[in-house]
Amino acid sequence: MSDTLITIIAIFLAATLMFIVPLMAVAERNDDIAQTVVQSATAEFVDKISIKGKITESDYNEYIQKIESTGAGTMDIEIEVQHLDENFGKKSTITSGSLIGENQRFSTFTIDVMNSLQSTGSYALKKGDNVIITAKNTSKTIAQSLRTFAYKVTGRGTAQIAASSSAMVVNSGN
Amino acid sequence: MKLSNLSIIFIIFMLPIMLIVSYYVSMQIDTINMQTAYNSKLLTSTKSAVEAFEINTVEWNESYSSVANSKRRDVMASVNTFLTSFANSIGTAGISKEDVLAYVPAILTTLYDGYYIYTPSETMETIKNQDGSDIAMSKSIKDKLIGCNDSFIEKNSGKLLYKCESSSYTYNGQAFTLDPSKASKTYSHMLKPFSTYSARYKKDDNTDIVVNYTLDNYITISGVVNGKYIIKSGYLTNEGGGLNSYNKWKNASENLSENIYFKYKDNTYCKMCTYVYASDNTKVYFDGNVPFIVSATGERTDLSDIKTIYYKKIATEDLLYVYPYVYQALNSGVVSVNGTNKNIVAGNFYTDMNGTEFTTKPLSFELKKDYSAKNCGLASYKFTEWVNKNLKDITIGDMQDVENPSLYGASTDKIFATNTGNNDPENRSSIFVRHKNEIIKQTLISNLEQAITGYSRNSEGNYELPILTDEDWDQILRNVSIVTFVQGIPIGMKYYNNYVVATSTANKEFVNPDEIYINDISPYYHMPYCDKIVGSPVYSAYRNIDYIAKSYIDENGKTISYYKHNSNYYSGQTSIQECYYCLVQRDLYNKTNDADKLKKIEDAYTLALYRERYVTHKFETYDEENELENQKEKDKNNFNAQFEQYKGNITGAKVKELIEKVNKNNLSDSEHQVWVYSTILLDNMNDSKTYSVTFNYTGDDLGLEHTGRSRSRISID
Repeated sequence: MSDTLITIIAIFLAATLMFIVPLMAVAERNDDIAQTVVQSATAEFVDKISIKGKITESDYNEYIQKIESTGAGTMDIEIEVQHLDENFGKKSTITSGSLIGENQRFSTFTIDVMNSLQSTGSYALKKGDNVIITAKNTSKTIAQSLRTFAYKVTGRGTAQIAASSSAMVVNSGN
Repeated sequence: MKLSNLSIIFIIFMLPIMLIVSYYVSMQIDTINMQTAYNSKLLTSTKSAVEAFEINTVEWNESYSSVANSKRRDVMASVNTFLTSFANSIGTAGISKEDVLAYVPAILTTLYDGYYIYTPSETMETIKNQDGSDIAMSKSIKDKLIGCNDSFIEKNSGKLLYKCESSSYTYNGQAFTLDPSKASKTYSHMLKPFSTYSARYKKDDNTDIVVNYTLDNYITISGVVNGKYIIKSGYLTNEGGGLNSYNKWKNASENLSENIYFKYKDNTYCKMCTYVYASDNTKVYFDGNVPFIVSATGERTDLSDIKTIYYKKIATEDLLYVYPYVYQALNSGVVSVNGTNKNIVAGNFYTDMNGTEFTTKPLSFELKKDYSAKNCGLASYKFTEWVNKNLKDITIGDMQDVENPSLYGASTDKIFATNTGNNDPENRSSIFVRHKNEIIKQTLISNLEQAITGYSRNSEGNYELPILTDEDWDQILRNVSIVTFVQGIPIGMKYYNNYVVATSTANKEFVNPDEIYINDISPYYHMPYCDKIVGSPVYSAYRNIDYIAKSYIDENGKTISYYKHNSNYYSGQTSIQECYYCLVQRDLYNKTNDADKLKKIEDAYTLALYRERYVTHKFETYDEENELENQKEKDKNNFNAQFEQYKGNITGAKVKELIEKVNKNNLSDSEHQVWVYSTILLDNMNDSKTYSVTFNYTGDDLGLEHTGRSRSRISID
């Protein structure tokens, strides 16, 4: 009787070790790779915006394609543009450092940018603006599902794959 | 085998594989993270380099010197800024810019009319004198003992020195040579000499020119045209030959004013003053009616207190054939020419700067108005007309010294025929602009390739010039840019290779048509044609760098800020600000639909663009001889068009008609008068009798006292 029980436990353990663990390991690695790809694609997209001085529809589509090809499922992309408003802080001279006030920034978000991309195909920025892009997966990856099954209860809003990148725009777009 | 044994074997196999895979993946992740970090470091450092360039040229050096040395110094400063900034951003303790240099194959700085490349190359070591000037090349050690007799200078004067130079030829104990092959060499980074964007065209034996291009439509042509050697420079427009532009510029003038800070009689002032540009592009301000200049340190000098006479140069289109420009004196005084003193009176017109008074006809140019835009417009018009006439047949196929001319456009396209349909040089898609851009691009590519191949030859890796994208080129061709290349930095699994293009928007090198802003009567300034521009009877426009706030320290030691261009309406207010709907948030920019506003803004914008171009670049004076010939040719054609029908034997009635027409012409066109000589009195002429009518054209030897081109003669017998 005890032998049978041990055999069952052993089979169970072996099955866990032989299937679940490698599967989890592979899934985790897969997420890592997806994370890396998303991170570098986001950084690349942001750099492109920074150099071009504008967000274009074709660049945006290329970025979406790239991050969705990772198999990480659906992604939620947030774009924030911090417009530099120099009116408050016009410097007397750049070198003297004596400022009249501080430069201010105000932001526009994904919805405005997307509206502009849809209507004109691009969103123009100027030198000095900041652009921040955050990408998160909204669906569960295999690793997430396995983890939930195995040991962890994940709540809503925790993303397995999340990348964020920001840059200052170096050229004014037109 | 027992299941437990199998499990253990499985674990023994799987564990190392899993460990290795996970290590490999984490290395990959580190590499990519490092790459991303380096990307942003490179971007930020390049941006700093551009900022350094802007500070050096705009902030510190208000009256930007175009002396090559000063440009070189500014470029070198921005290269150093990049290297220091990049070394600092790497963040490893003790790393200096010299350590970073090994990974920098080239730094390209493109300026308005040419470029600099900072790249490693073999240079000869030089010996410097106490002033820091190079005086000779230091001798390489292996050649140090080679020499001949000692007193070679005296014996071989006029001959090449190095052919017989002495081993004891030393400077401060250092042996030196004048023979480049014997000099000791070092391999180090250096800023290569300034190169221009140029191309050579050869049509036939009579026309062989080199054209230097710039970021806009300003070109310099040197070489032989129709058998004559010329050097000419100017703006190519699409308006050459069209009467529209000629008339447009005829009456162009501007009222310019700005806030200026100055020290005067122990007090400091900041005052809105009108100003004009003097012939040397100095700003001469008017305090009421008192003209004065302000030095870089803010000292005001009234022109009445100095002996130098300042003149304002004005193009006089209708007197072109005799005097291309008149000079209006801005202050009174005395000039001494060849020992004779001449009195100069402020406001009077002179034909030169030696006090020769202009008396041909009364002129109505106002003293406090600026005519720079007009000068530029007319000079461009004249230049374009000349180019259209003399270089109209030069095609892209005539390019010399290029391997593949088809890269530069269709071989039958006429580059300089800007008066034809699709060749407006202000338009980015015209033949001229596309050809020019391709020349700039290919020049840069071939020189960068050379630099990077040289770097590759002297380093372990094998490096090539990365292919710059079309967007990168678009940036480079739009304004002064810095392109930095970094290659071979080890980042985990691979080496970091990348480049960054950063463009300057605020510099005095280049008058960018995109960076001229419009003032209205609100406290905001705008991009041209912004629909938020408030309706105003007249607009003024200035360059973006003129809207930077300035400051000064008043007599109480307090720092006061001011803006150069207050709006008219809010003149009490100290600032005008960027418009939120165009300059702050570019994407909200909309072009206005108001036709009247559009027209007024266009006028202000064009005047500002041409004015700034005029004070930034060199303009040739007219080639007077050529000018005269051109005008004579034109006059002859006009004359023929009007009077050809009356030539030969015509009836008295026709003669009367002719004379009526001549009178009409003389009344309406003061430039070209027609004189009629008749051996028969008009009253005695018989309507049905035949008379002989002959023409003598402008420029023909009439045996009469007449100047220039302005007369033609009709003789009736």
